Amino acid sequence: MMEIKRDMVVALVDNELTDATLKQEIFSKIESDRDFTLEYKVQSLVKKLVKEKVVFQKTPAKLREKILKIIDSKTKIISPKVTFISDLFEKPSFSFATAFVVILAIVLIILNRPGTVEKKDFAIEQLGKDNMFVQAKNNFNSILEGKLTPQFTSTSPEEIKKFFDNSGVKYSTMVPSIAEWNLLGAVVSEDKNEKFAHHVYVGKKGELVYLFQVDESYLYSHDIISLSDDLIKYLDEGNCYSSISNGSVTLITKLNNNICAVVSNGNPKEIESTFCSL
Amino acid sequence: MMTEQKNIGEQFEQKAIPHIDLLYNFALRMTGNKNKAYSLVKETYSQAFGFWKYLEEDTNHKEWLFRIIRNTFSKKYKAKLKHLELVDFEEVEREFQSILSSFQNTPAFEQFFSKSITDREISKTISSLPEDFRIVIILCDIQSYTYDEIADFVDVPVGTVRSRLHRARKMMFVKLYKYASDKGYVANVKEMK
Repeated sequence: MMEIKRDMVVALVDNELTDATLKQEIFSKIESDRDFTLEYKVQSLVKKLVKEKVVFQKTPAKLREKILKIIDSKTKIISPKVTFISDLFEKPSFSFATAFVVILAIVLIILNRPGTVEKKDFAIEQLGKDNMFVQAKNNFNSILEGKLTPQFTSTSPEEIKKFFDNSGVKYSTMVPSIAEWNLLGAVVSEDKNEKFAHHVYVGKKGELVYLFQVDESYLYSHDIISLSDDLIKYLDEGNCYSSISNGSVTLITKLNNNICAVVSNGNPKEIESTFCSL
Repeated sequence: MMTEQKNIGEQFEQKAIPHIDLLYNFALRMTGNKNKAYSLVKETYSQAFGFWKYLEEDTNHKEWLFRIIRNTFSKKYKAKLKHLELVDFEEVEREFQSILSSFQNTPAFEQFFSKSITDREISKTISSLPEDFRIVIILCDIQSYTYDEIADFVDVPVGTVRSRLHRARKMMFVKLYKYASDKGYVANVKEMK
């Protein structure tokens, strides 16, 4: 007769025992030994509680839609448009005329294209105190006015990350080292029991860059902090949005899984080229 | 080529999307947070789609998606949660025995737990377990995986799965009891020691 260890009771509870003799031996042990009886009861009870009480959640419709959109956009991106053109050229009777028309059309499109890719002015859609864009601009103004000062000062990205972790920020934060910009310090804010990470860089002439980052999931659920859906879509497509007003530039960009709002009184072009390509 | 891409999209929609509820619930229990679950599932599907065209025909899509979500979870959160993963099992065992002794003459503790514990508490308790223990509870008790399937999924021997389940349920029992005790459903654990 083999020694029956207490954790074998678990296999019995989970109906994982195939050996009938062993099963019987464990049952006998459960009946005769109080410790085994209680072990069996506790294991069965917790399993039953989890099985019965955990409610199966339906996936939010928005998440399902989002994933389908990602698939759709990726399918379109991968689709080579050359196929359509080459198919047209393969038809001998149309080859010359088609080639001429297609080339002419391409030339006209290129000539009439605006200098830069047209982008919507998302800034006008960003409204309300929960809006990340609005919050970032207000926070930056508070920094300039001296109303908001760093809770932690350091020039080390590792130390600032550690400060975020220790202060209860639940998402992974990014604190990039940037040439020409020195880290100054950081602040952790709290809203609806969630902690958010902010840090500041200083340039050679004393100009400031303020960076507020939030895990993208917070923006998808809109519970605590928001951005307009159009802007989120624009960021999801890999773009960086910038807006200049009242002597400061505001960028909204994505850094890994975090959406970052960057506000600075530095040179807008320089800020854009540095922070949009992190 | 265009049709091929369209087919890949359609195939993915037909074969991968139907598992979304299972993945979302797994993500929800692993992260204990709706926002993080949202982000985790989105990232999982985005990655899965990138590899979809390389899949063998006989691939078990559900299992494959679960592997991706697990790896994504580990990459995203493991380093951050490492400091929470240490458990003093001797302490758990002491508390466990202490609780059991208080039920010496009251075999009705099943009834007590069933009445006072809600879905929210169970979910919170699962989320508070260290990852190695949380995952076996989710797979065994929520997703109804067999020990062999769990062993294969987490890449440990079946004996380890059994031992982790054993400890995980004990930890859950102690945590749930403490919760019930704090809420005043039972006399405080400390008073009973």
